[in-house]
Amino acid sequence: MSQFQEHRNKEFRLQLDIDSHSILPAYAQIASALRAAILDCTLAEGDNMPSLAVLSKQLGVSRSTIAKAFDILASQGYITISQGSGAKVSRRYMGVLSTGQVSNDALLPADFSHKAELTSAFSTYSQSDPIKLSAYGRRLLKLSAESVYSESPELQTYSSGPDLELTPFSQWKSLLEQNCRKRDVSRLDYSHEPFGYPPLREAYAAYLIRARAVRCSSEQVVVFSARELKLDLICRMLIDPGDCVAVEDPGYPDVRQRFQAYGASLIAIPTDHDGLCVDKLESVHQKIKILYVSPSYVEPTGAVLSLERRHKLLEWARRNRTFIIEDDYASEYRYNGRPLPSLQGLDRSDLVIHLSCLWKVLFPVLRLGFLVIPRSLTEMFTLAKALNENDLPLFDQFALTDFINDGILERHIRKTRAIYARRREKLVDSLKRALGENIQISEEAAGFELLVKLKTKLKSQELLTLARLQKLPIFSSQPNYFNSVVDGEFILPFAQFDESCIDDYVAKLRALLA
Amino acid sequence: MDFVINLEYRSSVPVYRRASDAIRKAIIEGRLKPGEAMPSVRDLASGLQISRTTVLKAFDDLQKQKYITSVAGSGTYICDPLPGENVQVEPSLEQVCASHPIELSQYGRRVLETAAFQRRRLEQLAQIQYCGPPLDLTPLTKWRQLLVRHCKLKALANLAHAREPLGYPPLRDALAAYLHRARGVKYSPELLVIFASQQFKLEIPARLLIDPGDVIAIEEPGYPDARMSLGSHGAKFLNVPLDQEGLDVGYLEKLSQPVKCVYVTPSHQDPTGIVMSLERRKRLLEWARKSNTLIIEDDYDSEYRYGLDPLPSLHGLDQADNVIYISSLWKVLFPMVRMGFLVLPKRLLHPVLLAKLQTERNLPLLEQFALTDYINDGHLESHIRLTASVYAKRRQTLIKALTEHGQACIKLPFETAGLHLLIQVKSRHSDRRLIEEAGRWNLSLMSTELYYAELSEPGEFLMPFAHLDEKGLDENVRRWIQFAES
Repeated sequence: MSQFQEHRNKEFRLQLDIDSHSILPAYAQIASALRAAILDCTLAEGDNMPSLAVLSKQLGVSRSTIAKAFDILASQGYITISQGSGAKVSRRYMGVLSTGQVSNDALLPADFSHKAELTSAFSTYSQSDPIKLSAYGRRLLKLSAESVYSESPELQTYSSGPDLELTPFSQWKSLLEQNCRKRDVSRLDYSHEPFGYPPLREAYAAYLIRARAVRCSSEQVVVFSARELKLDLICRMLIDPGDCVAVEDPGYPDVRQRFQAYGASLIAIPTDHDGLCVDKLESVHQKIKILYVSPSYVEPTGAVLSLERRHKLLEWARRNRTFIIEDDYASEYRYNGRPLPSLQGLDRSDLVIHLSCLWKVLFPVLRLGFLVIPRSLTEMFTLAKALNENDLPLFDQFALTDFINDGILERHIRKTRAIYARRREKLVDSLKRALGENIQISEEAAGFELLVKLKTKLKSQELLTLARLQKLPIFSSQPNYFNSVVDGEFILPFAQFDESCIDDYVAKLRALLA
Repeated sequence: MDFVINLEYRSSVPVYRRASDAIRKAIIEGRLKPGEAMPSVRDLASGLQISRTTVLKAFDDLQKQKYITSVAGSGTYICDPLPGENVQVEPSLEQVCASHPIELSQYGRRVLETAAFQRRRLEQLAQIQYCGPPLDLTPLTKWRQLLVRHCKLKALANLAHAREPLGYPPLRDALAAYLHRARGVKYSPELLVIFASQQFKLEIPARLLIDPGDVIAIEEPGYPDARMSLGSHGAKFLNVPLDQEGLDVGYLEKLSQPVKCVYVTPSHQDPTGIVMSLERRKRLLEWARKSNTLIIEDDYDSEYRYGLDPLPSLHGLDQADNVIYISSLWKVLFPMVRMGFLVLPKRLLHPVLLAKLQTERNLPLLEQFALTDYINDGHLESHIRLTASVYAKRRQTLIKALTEHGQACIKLPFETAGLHLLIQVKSRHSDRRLIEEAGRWNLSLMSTELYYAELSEPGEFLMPFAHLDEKGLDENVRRWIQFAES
């Protein structure tokens, strides 16, 4: 070892404040800090590791803690420990790749922001000689990905998510613990169930039959590991470039890109206070392959598709042989009026695909998505899903099965529905009192947001910018509209406001408008 | 219990009658099953926004009609059997399909064509227990501890809303570091992408790169699932032969037409188990650089090598940004951990990110936390070490038995890594009989026929050993070989 090295290692100080509140034990924190030092070459190949005594003094922990951290690093091959001569940083790259393979730009910190990541990914892409992508890939490049990331992270937390304080963490934790015991080894089999864990599908079917009047057997229930994959599978199986897909206007904006990625041409069908204007479908002369509709909650108005229109819509679909995708979004959270049974349950022609997830209930611990598909599609979809999404998160499925079968799901929905209803009411009262004539609030009491019209001298964009500066959660409803430009219409989230901070929020909003 | 029925009709009829009609309909349609408990009066009242008295009146109605019955002290139940017959007759599936023939997309039609092949493949995989790690070695206790470690509001509050379509960043870092030290992949966490389901790691590059008719070079014999997955996007295959050093790159060098990409399994060729030599790897990369062709390097089943020298992955050797490295922990932690991952060439990161935004914006959070800790706390590598020593013994015993008893009729053509052997059997019995007979002696075999795009030779089998019990193994092998020779 050169003198320089010796000198350097004597000087080596591990930059680490051990966080005693952390969930990770001290030895794991130390191992991870040392690993970082090795990866960024502060401790280079062949260097002696600082001794146990030195590190234990520096960090104020026992030698055995340091020794444990060393053991981990040794098991991972970062260091070698030999009797007598202490620990050394191993030669990495398994003796083959010896020089300069780790370039500096490969050593980005692990928690780089994703906006930055997106930008850097794009610049690398546009600089390098691009790969010839498939038609699908080229369509993706044309879609704007920026819009997905437009909200700042602080405000993002307020958009449409449930209140984390209400997430049933402790119940979920004990269900996971119960379902991941040694005796459960026999449940870990390899049998291929592309549609998901059968007992979960039974439990979920029973829940939808009770709560949403869906008519299905568990064979029609498909579980997905992410919400987006539901629509992806439908598009892949049913849409060819050039096919027509009808969507609501205003409506849920994210799905439009999902269809466009598959080359669909979109047809916007207006919505009003009774949901989708079904009559307008008659004047469309192209053949509509798929109609996407959210009958229990049109975004952002919250309108419910009336029963009369539901029947008309199903009749139209039957005549035109169009598949209807029913997104049963926010159906659990309706605070006035009676919930209507799902479109799927009214259908007799096997044409409705029912989409749901438990995002609003079990966020963020559970991210599964669910489809109920027509019987005629089960065989084809099984083949497709077996090709690329056979394996779903196992313990999430086990735990959710019990969560539903033990009745916790429905109890939790009932409990939180009452809480959200109170929050909404309080916000509406407070807004009316504070803003009087200057605010118009949509009547639909559902979901996690209010749609309001504000009378103000400010332009919409100015208001949003000011709100963003003050970190005040208020959003534009513009993305929900297809082409028309709306002015003075905004979305105010309420689900995450504790009742005590509502007045404060309204006061700030009022100050902003003044 | 949330229970929704339709009350929005015939407003001239009193609400309790509408409620009882609707509940009766629900019973007839089977939404409420004979013998089941009725939803409680309180639940129905709050769910349907009607008074409890109204619900009670509706119940009275139903009781008179013998649809429900109340049991003192226990509650109200749906009668079993129901009065009369179930009325509703569903149109049969055939009727529905006949009236609405389904127009699938081109992709959908290609998927349908794989039906017979998929069925055969699943049957065969079931015969060898999918060739995965034995369940009794699954480290469930540790996993359970790690899985619930972060299941608290405090731990999750900051991360809950983070949009991480490429995966939880600390896990990407932990995996990148692991692949770097264990597999010689370039350390590049920003190019590592995680998928909730391990199959998606091939689906995403396939759909981004392949248009129908594009040519993919693939090993012959080769991994059938990759053929199916790439083929579902309309790829045509160029079958490239193998020799003792792996893929015959000379074959590629002589091509006059360009290929879209090469799919290759260098660290453990499936099914032969051949490890591609270092020289061959360099030659393949050089060819790819010159012809500007992408390589999909599937590093499946690379963890268990039994003393063979580890060679650096193609990704680690590549200087031209041409290699897509894909892998999973299938052979180590399946079926407990099902995530897959890939490490991309820089120029593919942007398209993959866009595709992820369309398919998987969030991955299972707790599983990602658990795997991060599992790797960083050193459990992954100790688990591999521990299981490797178990498998090595089983493998040794099996090889010894096969060579001792099967001198005349069994050949082990390649020195192989992984969790199975490739054997060739000379016998007058059919493959099917040999497999059946092996089952009698607690051995499992799978024919390699589906690995060949062109004609396969009978008598070639995959023989997994990870789950075999060493006790009695020798005797079982002897008996089975006796049959093969008979």
